[in-house]
Amino acid sequence: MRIQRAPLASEQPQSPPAGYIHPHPHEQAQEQALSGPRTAPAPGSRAAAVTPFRCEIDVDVTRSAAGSRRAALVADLVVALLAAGRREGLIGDRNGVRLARWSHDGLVGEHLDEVWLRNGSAVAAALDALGPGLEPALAGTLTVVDLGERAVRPAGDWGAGGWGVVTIGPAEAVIRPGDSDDGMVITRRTLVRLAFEVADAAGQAGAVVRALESAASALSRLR
Amino acid sequence: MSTLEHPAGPAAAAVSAEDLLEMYRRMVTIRLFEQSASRLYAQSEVPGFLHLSIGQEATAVGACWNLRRSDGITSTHRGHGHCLAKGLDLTSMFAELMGREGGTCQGRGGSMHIADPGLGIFGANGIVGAGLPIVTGAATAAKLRGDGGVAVGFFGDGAVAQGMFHESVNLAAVWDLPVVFFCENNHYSEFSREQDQHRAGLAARAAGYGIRYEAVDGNDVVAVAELMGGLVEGLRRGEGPVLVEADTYRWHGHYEGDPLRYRTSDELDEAKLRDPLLIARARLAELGTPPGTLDDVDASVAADVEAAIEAARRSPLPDPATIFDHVWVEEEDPVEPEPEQGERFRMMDAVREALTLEMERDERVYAAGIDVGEGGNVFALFRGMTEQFPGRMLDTPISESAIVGSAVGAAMAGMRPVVEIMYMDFIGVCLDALMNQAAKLRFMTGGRAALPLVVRTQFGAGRSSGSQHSQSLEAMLAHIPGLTVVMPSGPVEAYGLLRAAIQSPNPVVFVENRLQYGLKDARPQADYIIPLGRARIVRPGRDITVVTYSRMLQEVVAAAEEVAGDGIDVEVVDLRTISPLDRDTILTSLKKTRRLMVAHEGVQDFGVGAEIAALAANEGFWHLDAPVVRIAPPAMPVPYSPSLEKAWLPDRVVVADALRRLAEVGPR
Repeated sequence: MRIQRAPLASEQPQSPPAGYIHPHPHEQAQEQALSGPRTAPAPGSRAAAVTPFRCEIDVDVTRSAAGSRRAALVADLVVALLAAGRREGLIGDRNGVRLARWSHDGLVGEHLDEVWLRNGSAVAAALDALGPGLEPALAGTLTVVDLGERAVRPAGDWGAGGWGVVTIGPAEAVIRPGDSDDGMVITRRTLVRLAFEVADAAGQAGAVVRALESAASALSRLR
Repeated sequence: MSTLEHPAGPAAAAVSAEDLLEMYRRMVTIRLFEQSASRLYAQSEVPGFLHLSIGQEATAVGACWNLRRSDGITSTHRGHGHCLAKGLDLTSMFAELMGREGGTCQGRGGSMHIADPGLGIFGANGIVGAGLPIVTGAATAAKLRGDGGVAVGFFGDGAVAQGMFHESVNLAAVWDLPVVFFCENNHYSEFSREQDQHRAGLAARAAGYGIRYEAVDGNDVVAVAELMGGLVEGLRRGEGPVLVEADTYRWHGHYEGDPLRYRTSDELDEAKLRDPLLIARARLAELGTPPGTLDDVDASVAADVEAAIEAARRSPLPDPATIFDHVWVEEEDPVEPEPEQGERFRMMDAVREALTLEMERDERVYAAGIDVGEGGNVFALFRGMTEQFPGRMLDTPISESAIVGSAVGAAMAGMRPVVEIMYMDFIGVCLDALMNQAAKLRFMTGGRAALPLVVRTQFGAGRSSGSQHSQSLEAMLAHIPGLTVVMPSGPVEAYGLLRAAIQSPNPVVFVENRLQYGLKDARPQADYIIPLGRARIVRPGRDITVVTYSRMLQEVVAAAEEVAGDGIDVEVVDLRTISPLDRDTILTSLKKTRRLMVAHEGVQDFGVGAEIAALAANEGFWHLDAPVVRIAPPAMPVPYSPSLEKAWLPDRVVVADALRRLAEVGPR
């Protein structure tokens, strides 16, 4: 008889087996949509009902956009949103990020490793260097689509797959009333619509909302 | 001096000056050992607890004087003197007290647990009275071997109030065992006076048990040795047990640090007038031994003690990497053969045939328990075996502590007892013998003690046996490191596992389900054996793993067949051995099915299912697609009324329903 001992405190928690991808519900649903179920279907079970969640916010980028190239503005938005997403637990090391933009041939873009470690300039450079075509999404991929100056308002996730899609709309000039020491004033602001869609609303909707609010707040403070 | 010699002393003959001088030397050795231990404890070189026997040297030396090396003794928490008197060496004892690798028990036992079965020392003991069932077992072994061996169980007057004292003396009386129950009456039970602990003296008690009683001056080593010489000779000739009461006194407190508020200094001063060393010196003087010779002995022993302390200090502390050593005997498993398909036989036949084969193979195997002998077991499992194995199928009084405790002693003395606790519920009566003795003694003795014993018992709910005759208490036992807990699920498993249990070097609790005694299966080949600690896949499946054991296996298999019609493919794992747990088989199955259920008859809360669920959460987390499900009775006493018991005990319908719900959970 040989004793099979439980792991000691120093050996816990156990590491995942090699090649293991954590099956978050949202990743799981996307993964199955792309490549079939990860495990055998539950015998006798009914079809799954996964509900996507989409949320939008108009980000005041007046200061950030002043005198900036489009790529720099998009890069600031990406950096702010990824930072907020990591704080909310939405985005982690398990997630890849795919930067993409709209072209006449559809979406073009590519995966970038550990985008959250890059600053705005690095992300802007990456945007400038996007090649043709679009690599397929992996489980856990967040796709960021730069819509450019097109005025359309896309609904849905572009069919991009993966865990979620962020769409960055065109910069729009708007007139807004405001307060000053002299009373009410009319100001000119620049807004960008930021849309965030995840494939499965369960357990994530609140975090998505908070991440968008946080990113918008961060951008409005940029000088 | 490092090792004491043990001549087979004269029987009831006048003690010569030479012998008395040797007795004196041994008593001085004990005195100086104890005084040094006290000093080392005060200096924090000895950790833990320390109970010293200064003042009681004559009882230890006198009682052991006539013993052979192979004769057994059991000791108490105040046991240094007994161990030294039986031949243990000073250095290993000091090292043991210091918790060092060179200790008698490699630092695993300490002051209260020194043992060396090779010298017949079956252990000091931290539980008051617990040595008495063990010495009864040592005497049982001696009687079964018929080699003239005897045993001496030391105990204090405080132990007389323990139930274990009663059970042990009574069993020894009934079985006419060659044992001396040697009471060192120092008049205090820890802090309490003797007269406040019990009303009847030992002479009256001995009469009550129908055994011989002898009183002796416990401070006079010659008186003790002469008395014991006669008694031991009688025991070797086949006489029955004796209760000896030696009047003595301990000079120090119950433990080192005891404030001694319960007695006066005058009382101690008066006791010291009867110092065993002074009495021996006076006797030696009468025999013409010059005082200078005795002073030389004192000086020689003092030098030996100091040298032993220095040697002990040089021994290293145990390497933490060896922390698991001696908990279990680990060895390569025998290969599990495929069972042949013979004629159908019942589970009760399997139990009897396995025991029969092992008793034929090994003369050290014997069986004991209530109605096990002439009665052939309350379920008639062993009917007719007393004629087949005369003297080896032993009836006991209704004394569970003595039954299991004596098995511990007999196992340490080289036998392979298979004892029976009639109902698993009665484990509570003898839990000390299982939990503190059988399970721990191998570890606490640094591997010196072997505990190859089997405690068979049975359980089973579903027949209105009530709350005290139905319980499945395996979780309680499996929580005790050192115990192997086995629960067969059918006749083939009962046969193969019981054979393995009897051959095991570890203490095994073997739990049968009495509702299965009539269950039939194909008889395997005679040499069929199942390794302990190995689960088996009873029914391979794809969708859900169900871990179960004992009678619940039949319910689970039936449920698995039922849900197979719904497209749910269930893999059924029969644990067979509950502890140590076959973690690999469970995890391997879980990796395949990704869903886990555990089903058993023990109540759910803190049960085996909880341990397996924890295993899944700790080590199988990455493979779980659904919560772990536990199917077990709710945590409450087993009801008597059939309607309540049926509601309490899960069956195949409950299991099947849960399987269907579990199949719905998780990824689609």
